[in-house]
Amino acid sequence: MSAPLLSLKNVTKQFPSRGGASAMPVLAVDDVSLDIVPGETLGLVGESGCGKTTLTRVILQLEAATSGSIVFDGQELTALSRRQLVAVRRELQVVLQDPYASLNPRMRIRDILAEPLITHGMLPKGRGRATEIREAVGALLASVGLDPAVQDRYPHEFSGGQRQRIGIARALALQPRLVVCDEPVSALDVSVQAQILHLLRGLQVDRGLSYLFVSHDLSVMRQIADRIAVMYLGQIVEIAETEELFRNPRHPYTQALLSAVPIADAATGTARTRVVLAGDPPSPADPPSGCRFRTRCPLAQPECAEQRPPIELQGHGSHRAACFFPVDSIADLARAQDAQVLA
Amino acid sequence: MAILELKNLQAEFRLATGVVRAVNGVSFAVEQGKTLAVVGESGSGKTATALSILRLNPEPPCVYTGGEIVFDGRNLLDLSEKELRAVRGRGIAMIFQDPMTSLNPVRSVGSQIVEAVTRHEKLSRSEAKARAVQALREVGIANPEEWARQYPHQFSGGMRQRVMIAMALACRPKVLIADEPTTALDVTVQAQIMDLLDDLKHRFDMGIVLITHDLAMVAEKADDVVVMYAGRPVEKASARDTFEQPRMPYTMQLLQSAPRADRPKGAVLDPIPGSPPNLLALPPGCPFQPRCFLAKPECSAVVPALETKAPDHEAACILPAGELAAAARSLSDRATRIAETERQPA
Repeated sequence: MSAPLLSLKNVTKQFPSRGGASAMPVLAVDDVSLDIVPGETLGLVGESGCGKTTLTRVILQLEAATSGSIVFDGQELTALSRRQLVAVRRELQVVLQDPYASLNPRMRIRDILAEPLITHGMLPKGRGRATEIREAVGALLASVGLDPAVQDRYPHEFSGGQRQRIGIARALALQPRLVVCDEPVSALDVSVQAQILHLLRGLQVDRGLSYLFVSHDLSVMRQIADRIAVMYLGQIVEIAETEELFRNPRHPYTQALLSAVPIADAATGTARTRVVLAGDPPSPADPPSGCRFRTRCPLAQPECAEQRPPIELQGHGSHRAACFFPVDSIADLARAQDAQVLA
Repeated sequence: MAILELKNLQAEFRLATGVVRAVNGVSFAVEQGKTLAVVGESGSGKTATALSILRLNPEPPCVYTGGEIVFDGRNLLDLSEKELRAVRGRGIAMIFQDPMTSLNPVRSVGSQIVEAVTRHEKLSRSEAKARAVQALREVGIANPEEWARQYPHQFSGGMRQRVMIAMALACRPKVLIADEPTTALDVTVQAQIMDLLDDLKHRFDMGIVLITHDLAMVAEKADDVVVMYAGRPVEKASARDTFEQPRMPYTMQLLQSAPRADRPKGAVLDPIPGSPPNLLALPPGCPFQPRCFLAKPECSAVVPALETKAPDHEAACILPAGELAAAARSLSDRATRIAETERQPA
């Protein structure tokens, strides 16, 4: 494996409480370590409130980490000055979820796409600049499958899928090496999602990009990610290569999550073993002691409340999971849940 | 027996910019104890259809230009507003996508259920309260007496949707319309809510109309399916037939392109080109023809109506049944082949 492009070590982000003296601070990201190598797509899955968006904001330095280290291309991001960060941001871009909210409705497409180029001084000043911009923007639009001639239009003239293409073009304008994609297809129609996933995959091959791909949708994840990290209440509970994770999930939360994903096939859909977790994820302001999943876990033992299970090698290759008492299959988990209900 | 039946329903919105025919010849029957899914992308007319059933589309701009909505032997399009109010909630109830905006934030959850109940039934205060608590218990809320006194912000997203379901079911409707009931919820909570709806459907022998864009959910939860595109029903069959042998090219391509959790990376993701059409400027002929992999010149000449392509299986396509079956087979063979090669260890 080549040297990582991005490396997180024990990253924690804590938000102060809004309530009175008795309220606890919210630990949105808790001791997260992960690597992304060049050309790789790391998927980050989890339910709402698990801290996945906060984690991306900490990586992008839009929020300061409370502790831990974030190394991008050999540089420690948490130690950089604002000026030094500007240079790093050229290589570290983001595609946002809502293509309706993320494009300024009062700017022409050309101005939206030229803005990063101008901010980073990547265009010559003086005569000929307008032509340069027109050409650069035209090339960007072509690279995401849009007609270069549309650059005079405004965002409202485009459909959701086309707007997401513009959002991707903007992220690519500075030729970044890592693009954080925060739920880039969840606001799109089903028939358009595949187009955008296809485009992202093609751009990755052409440009050798790395993606940190955030999604709650495991169907999308399986199609795009090389490796997947599963987050629960601020912690990474399992991380493995995509196929390994889908075939041999070790953490009971991952197993339940995979079994809950509906599948568009009448035969396999109804024949599967399912584990429907009871209740909701607990509040990150008042997380359970020990293993954070134990309150919903069919396998929980008294020990789970005492100590936090470390994330350790399990299964094949670099597969890691944080569970003291894992079972081998979803069927085993379902049996444990039935036994728990009967008891 | 069908409890609710739509017969060739037509509804249009007369806007300043033009006329949008959002519901264009929709027919289906909902049976007690069964789930009928209306599936489509945004702008396909699925929500307009759902709202039409209870006449909840704003009139104007909405005008019902034809067809019937038969419930309990009466055509709902003929009823007065007062008569409709007796049907809404008591005969047919509805739950919506976002449970937070559907609940009143400044009143306790229990009092909102009490309001829904007393509107339809003459009950004393204590009886109505007991009914509210009972309704919360039925949707799986532990400690219902206590939760009935709480306010919506104190509930999680999944709990709020349970409250909406409790409210909808408190008057024992015969039909429940569920408009994207789990879109705003997390995967694990989604599964809880869908299981709950299934359970209640059997317990109260209720018909469910499930409005959704999620094909996978339809495959797992629906008995019958109507696929909509650009305001028209384009395929109608049992859920099993729709997924195993789709007969409308749109459905075939959608099933082929939608990411699936049981398919390994790289296994078939043929995107459908273009985007759903603007209802104010529909293409000539078949609305799907510009994006269709089987399109022929004749397709832009006529708007195809639903016709029978196989027993109990209708599709709106001018191509003969044999050709559609062959196309569906070649797509699914391709998917299987790719999935098998992907499964080979590298």
